[in-house]
Amino acid sequence: MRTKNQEHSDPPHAFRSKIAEASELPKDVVLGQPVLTVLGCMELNIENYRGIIEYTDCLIRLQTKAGQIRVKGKALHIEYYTNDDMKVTGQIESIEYKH
Amino acid sequence: MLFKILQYIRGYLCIRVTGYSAERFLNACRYRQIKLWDLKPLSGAYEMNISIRGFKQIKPVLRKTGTRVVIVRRIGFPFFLYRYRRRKLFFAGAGLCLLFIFALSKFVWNIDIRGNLTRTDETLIEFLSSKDIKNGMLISDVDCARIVKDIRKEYDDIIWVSASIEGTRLIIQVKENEDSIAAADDIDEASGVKTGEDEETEETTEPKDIVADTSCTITSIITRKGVPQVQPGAQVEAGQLLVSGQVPVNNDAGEITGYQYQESDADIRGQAFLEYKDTQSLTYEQKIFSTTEKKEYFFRLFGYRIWLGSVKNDYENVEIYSEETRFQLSENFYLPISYGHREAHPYKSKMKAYKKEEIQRILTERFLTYCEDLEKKGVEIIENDVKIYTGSKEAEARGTLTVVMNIGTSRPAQPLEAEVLPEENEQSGEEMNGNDGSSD
Repeated sequence: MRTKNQEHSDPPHAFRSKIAEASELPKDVVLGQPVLTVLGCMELNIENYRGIIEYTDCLIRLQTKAGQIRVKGKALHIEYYTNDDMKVTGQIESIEYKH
Repeated sequence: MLFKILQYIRGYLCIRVTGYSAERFLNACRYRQIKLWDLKPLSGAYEMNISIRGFKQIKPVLRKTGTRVVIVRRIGFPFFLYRYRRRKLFFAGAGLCLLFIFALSKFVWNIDIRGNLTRTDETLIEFLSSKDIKNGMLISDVDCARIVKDIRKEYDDIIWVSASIEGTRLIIQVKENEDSIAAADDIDEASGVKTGEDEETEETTEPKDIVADTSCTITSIITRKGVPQVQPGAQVEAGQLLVSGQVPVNNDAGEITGYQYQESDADIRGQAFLEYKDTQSLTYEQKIFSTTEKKEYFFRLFGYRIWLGSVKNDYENVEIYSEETRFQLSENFYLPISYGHREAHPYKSKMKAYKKEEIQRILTERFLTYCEDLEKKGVEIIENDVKIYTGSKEAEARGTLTVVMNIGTSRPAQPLEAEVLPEENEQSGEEMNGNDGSSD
């Protein structure tokens, strides 16, 4: 099932990626991939996300086009939360991707 | 920071969202472009801030997601106003304050004068107030063009003036004629004695002589313009002609045909005698202050004085010190309100005699200062026989100083009778041609 899925989703993905490269457009716009900007281990800016799945002060799970992103840490705090981006502060220990 | 201030002015709420899936609420808010900030997770719930406008839009979201919302805190200016809505006097005060500021902004609160070098701010402000331009006047009454004209008319050495209103300030910028300032400095430096600069103004047909201002013996005379009438070594009396400003023009036969008029210019030094006399009383009054003193504090408003304490006393001799500070709004806007204090220090007077050395010291010091002043003026002291004579009541320093100093003051010349034809007399600059003409 999974392999079949990959076969279905990969070619258009590769195609889009190629277009993005050829047209020199930013990939985050064309592919809708999340952009994470991390400042040290205390600030994290996330753009292009779909929504929050879980939020506690030691774990934030986000849904994005590239799958789930898990941010683990201590005293995590969402400074703001808008349609475009969100900002997380606190002590970030790990950022994981899960497909 | 700006964001926070804006949020405060608009007002916002701190809400707590509870329910089975509070995350769904967050995502739904995001989808509807409702801004949330300061998210805090609590056990099974979230606390966050939301704008008032956003809060009005979340009702369908709540129904859809099956969550419940509780308002924890109301923050911001709209809520502040609502809370104090019954305090009518407060709002009246705030309104009055705004009105007051608006009214005050209609007046001139400061006059700022820039660019003045030779005239003080006070002089110009005094002049302006004579033209009814003063602090506290209505801005609408200020006629900048009129001010500029008035200043230009009054002061010749101010070559450019600009008057403008900036906020509640009247700014007056002036430009003074720097050449006239420099010329004034030259005259100061020369201290009345003529120097080379005078040559620039040689087109004066008015003849001027140099005469002796004191009796002296001439030691040197260097004439630049005019005819010297004395030789070094000559004894001259005060008022005697030293340099004549009328230069005789001779023809070939040696007869005087006319005079060339000039402003005489010469460095003349002469040896003269200066009398010196200085007296000093042998006794002086010493004030012995007692330890008691009286103080009075006062507050003055429009000439009326309110005071605390008094300096009234029955002492025979009293020294009174007074200090007064006026309130001011800006650097030159004084209000008719002032405060200060007065102190009365009673003392007993006692006559004391100077010691001999003290008298000598005082008189010597004064004599030395006098000598220094002379030297600054270019006077050379050759000899002095000043001595101190002590009398019964006062001591006296007297004697004569032999000095070498600049002699001569300028004076309009008495026109000499010329045995010439009138038309030749009129010629001033080109007498050589006239000379040729007569010799032909």
